[in-house]
Amino acid sequence: MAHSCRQSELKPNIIACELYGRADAATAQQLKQELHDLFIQNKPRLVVSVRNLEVMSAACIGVLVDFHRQALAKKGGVRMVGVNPNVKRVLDLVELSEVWGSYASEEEAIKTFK
Amino acid sequence: MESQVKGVESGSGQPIRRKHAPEYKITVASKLDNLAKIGAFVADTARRLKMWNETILDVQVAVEEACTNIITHAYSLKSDKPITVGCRLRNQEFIVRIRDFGAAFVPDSITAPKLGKDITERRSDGLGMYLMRKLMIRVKYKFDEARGNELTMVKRLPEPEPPAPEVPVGA
Repeated sequence: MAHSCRQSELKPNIIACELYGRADAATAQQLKQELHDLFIQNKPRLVVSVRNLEVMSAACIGVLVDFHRQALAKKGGVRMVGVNPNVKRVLDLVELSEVWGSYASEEEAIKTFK
Repeated sequence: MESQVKGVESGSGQPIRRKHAPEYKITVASKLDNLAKIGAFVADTARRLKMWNETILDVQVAVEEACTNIITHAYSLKSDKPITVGCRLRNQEFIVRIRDFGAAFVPDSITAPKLGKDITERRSDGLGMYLMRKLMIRVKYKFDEARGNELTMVKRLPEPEPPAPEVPVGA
């Protein structure tokens, strides 16, 4: 398993998701389903920790972009925590580093949701 | 299908004159779960050929995206088809060849994804191929129904730094 999603301990309406190891096409479908389930529970704010993520694939990026796009309508979105050089390299190429940000902690990322 | 790893280079330890640089190969079944195995093979081979870490990551990501496309599109998620990945280093270029027997396509028909800060306007289709083209200096497809399809991707290695000028002892 390459991810685990839970309710944030800091704020109940925010989902904290950790991606670790590999987030490739093999696991993207499961991530998509989990995020969809959370979204329909009216939880459109997602903080993703990628500190321990080694490989971020286009499939995983596509899942997060779709979530972000839907979440914007509900004043939600995606924020990134602990962006390591491997992840930054890919996010820079697909021009998402500025969109999702790079925060040092879950708490700091949560503050950016208005 | 079990994976097979084959390093073509023999182990005499002596320099061998060859027309082509030795190629290291792996063949795996077309399962998404095998992407990790393919990525590890490419990274291990690149390390063995003394490539730099940043370059290794670029090649690994490009190869995994290519194989994802083969499994999902060329093989339509059939999990028992072969994918062969071969790597070699020649003239400061890391060359990856990926062979499959799936459906052919027209590479130019894959439109570039729409990027940019406005995420409502973004389109993720073609993101994998976009990454391949961004990370490698050449991406070339050759389709052949009988012999299989071959994708060749090339990464140019950074030029080695020139040796520092010798400083006389006591200077």
